[in-house]
Amino acid sequence: MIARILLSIACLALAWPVQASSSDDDRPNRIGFGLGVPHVQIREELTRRFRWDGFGGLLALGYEHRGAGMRHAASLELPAAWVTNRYDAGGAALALRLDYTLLVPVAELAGGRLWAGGRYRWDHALQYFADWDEEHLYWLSAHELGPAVAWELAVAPTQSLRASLSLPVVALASRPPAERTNKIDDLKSVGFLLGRPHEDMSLTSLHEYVSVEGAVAWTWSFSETWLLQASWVMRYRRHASPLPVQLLENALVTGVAHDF
Amino acid sequence: MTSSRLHTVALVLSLLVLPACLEDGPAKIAWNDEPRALDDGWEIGAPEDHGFDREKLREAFRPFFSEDELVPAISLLVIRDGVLVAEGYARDLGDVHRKNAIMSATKSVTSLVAGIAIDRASSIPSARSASSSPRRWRAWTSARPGSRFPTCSPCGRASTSPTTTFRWRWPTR
Repeated sequence: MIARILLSIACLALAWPVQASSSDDDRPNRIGFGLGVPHVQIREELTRRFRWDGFGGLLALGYEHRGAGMRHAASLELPAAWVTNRYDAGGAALALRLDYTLLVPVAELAGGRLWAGGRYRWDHALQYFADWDEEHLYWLSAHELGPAVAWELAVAPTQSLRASLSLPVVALASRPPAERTNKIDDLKSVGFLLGRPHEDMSLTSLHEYVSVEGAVAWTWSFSETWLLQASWVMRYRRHASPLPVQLLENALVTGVAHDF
Repeated sequence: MTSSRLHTVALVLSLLVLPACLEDGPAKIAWNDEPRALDDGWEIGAPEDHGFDREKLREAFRPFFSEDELVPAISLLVIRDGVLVAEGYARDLGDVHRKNAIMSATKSVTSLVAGIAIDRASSIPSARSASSSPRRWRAWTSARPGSRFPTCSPCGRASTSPTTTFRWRWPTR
């Protein structure tokens, strides 16, 4: 049922009449590639109430179709980080994020343009606490849907700033069970890592699941079709069940994009 | 872009970044080492009545509840003569009801069960012919990763005391 709703929304979005501006007529599409350094913090109360944190690497791929009337953007992010707690116990935090954002211009604001729309995201965060719990996989996996806004400001003929914010209001989310008595997690299987968190998905909302992402990006067009981009992204996610988990990630990302 | 705008952007970024740190909470709950009467068949007694110095017993519990040392164990129980004299839980008091897989501790428990069985000449599998049927014993006592392990419930109070009835539960598929 949920899949049908998401599919219907995607179809509606793709069928929306996009009115391209004259400047976007020639090159309405943009692809980008980026590398980043995330700082990941985790407080997983299924272990204990202490914090795990550490730095890692991030790979990002993106596509955007731009028109005056609407923007479609899709991106894939693969962050990974090595985390430790205050007792120097180590662990790994991996994630897979796939999202689609639809934005339309809604107002001129403070010299820039304000866009609003919606975002669907699959955020599949996995944690393995090697020195703490060698037996089990921990996760917070969610298919999120909610509003998104962005504000863009041209600061020079070839440079622009963009600030964005998204807050999912409904999600299909999954967490590990409160108690697992056996060594049943097949941690070496990619199929298990992707499949197990999808077995117990439940529909949830802000009363239980909070996810917010804010980003600021600077873009410099160093040629007619190539751009350099640097951004800072902060993501915070919290799920209250079966015991609270909080994930906080701050990432600096830089990359190049090509308009065609 | 004017400098005032840049300052505004910098201020907003600072406000977002500075508080962006998850709280590093305590690893353990408050000190608790007094056995609780749960009407579960366990006899509870005072440490002094069973040859323990209460202060030295508390000293033994100190690392278990210290935030300076991370002990992954969730419970610490002291039993003498079948009597529970001290009982502590580091993660959650509710862990007294938690079922845990005991993994390789199975061997220790099973060897005790076997010893008691042989001593009593009971009819626990092949007890009387253990020495002549080592394979049967191995099959009974082994557990491999991926298989189901025996669990105990209440976990903290599952005991190896020979004067207490065993409560090990062998899960069935």
